[in-house]
Amino acid sequence: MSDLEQRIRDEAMRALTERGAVCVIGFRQGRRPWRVTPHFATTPGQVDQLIWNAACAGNLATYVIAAPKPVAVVLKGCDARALAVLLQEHQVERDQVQIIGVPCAGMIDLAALAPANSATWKRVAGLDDAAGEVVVTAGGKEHRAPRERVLLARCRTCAHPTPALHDVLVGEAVAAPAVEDDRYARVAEIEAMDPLARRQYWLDQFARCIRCNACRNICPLCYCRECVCDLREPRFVAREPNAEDNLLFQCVRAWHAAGRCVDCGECERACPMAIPLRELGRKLEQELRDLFGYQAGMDPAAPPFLAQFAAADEEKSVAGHE
Amino acid sequence: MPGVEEKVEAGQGAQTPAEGTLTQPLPGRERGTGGPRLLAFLCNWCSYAGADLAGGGRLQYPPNVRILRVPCSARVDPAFVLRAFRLGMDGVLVAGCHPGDCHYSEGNFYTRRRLAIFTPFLNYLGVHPKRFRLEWISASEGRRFAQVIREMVADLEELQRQGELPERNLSPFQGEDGPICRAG
Repeated sequence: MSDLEQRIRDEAMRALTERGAVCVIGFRQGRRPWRVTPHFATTPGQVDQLIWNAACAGNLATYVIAAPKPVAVVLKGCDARALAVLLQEHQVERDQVQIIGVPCAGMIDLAALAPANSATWKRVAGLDDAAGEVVVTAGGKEHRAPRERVLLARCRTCAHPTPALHDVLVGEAVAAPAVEDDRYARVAEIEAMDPLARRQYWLDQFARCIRCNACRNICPLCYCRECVCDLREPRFVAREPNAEDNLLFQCVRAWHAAGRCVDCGECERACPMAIPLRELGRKLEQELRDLFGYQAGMDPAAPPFLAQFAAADEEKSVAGHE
Repeated sequence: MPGVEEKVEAGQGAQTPAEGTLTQPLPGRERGTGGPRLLAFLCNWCSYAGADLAGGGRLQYPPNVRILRVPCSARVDPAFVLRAFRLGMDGVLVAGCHPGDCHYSEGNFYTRRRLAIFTPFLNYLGVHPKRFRLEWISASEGRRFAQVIREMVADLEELQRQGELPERNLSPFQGEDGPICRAG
């Protein structure tokens, strides 16, 4: 057990016994050695199940809204920014949530290590990470890979690995990962296509979508009780999967997350069809940054960006331009 | 029996939307035969009155436009625009009061900020920039309204000639006869 894991358990215990939390949200071991699953500890006896490793990619801010309050939650840098957005939108109040911040060195992409359900994975007995290396034990042998080579794509360009929003910070603050990558390189590539080719590119990507709604279910910001895309009268988006409606669905989702999405990348990780969902949100993120210098999830006390306006918006307006 | 047939037809007629509504092509403008289709979201207080003035003043503008009146330009969730394109519109115009003139004081300021971000996003999705416009049209600007419609339709006709408009591909559950855009 790592030192970090022990400190998370200590803080979880303190939250339950001293700070009045009725529930601690963290991770526990899943059914496979490399799988982790959300854990909701409501008694001190359940705290020992909390773990922390390089597979804890999930965004636990998703569970905060529905959790019994006051709640304590284990959050990485990206997760804490998502929670900041929920605070901005008053989906949860600050005094109802205790944040156990964990500086994150980047989470590993299990799909990059080996295809899921492959024979390799069946033999895996353990997954460990220490000192910049990921150690996979399989068939009695240890396989080592440098951590930065198996990072999730989203973690390679992470700018805020240490949660700024926290009540307690567990472990040392970490700098952004060393792997260099232009965050908007893919956006520029897509923009270089001409409009019809670009449209076809998206339709090709979304032809794969099976409308399982995993992206929506895992998104911390998709908390609407009734999604506009589920409306039957008027039916906003056709229910049966077809490329155009799949794309419309995801564009509506991306747009409704504009100015809110912190690019935690969970939608893309949850997608069973490997659709590059982050490419949509990143364009909106780029526009917000370039036009308004705004980045989502940085100030939990600020009103939501699109619920405000300013006189300076005039220069950025698209009205009246030829 | 002719009388019975007439009755059946009348019954069906009650089921289908009236001619000239959003869901039914205008005469001579059936799919594939007419020019591009333009949907205009007009705010009730300025732009719709501006369009009314254009009509009252007998100003000529192309009949390709369908007007959808909204209480305020801020009522237009850009998702409506995405949906309009999905339903086969070739162009979409959002028009509201000039900034500072909003009936609700500040509605169009939200629209302005929103669409500043949304417009490049729409382009990123492969919608040609000429297919979407935001304009400020006041109640006294009937001429401006007619001019904007003329310009946009001319742009869309040009795109159509160049083959730059995508084919309409409606699902069986959508489109002109589907429940998705039934009027009223």
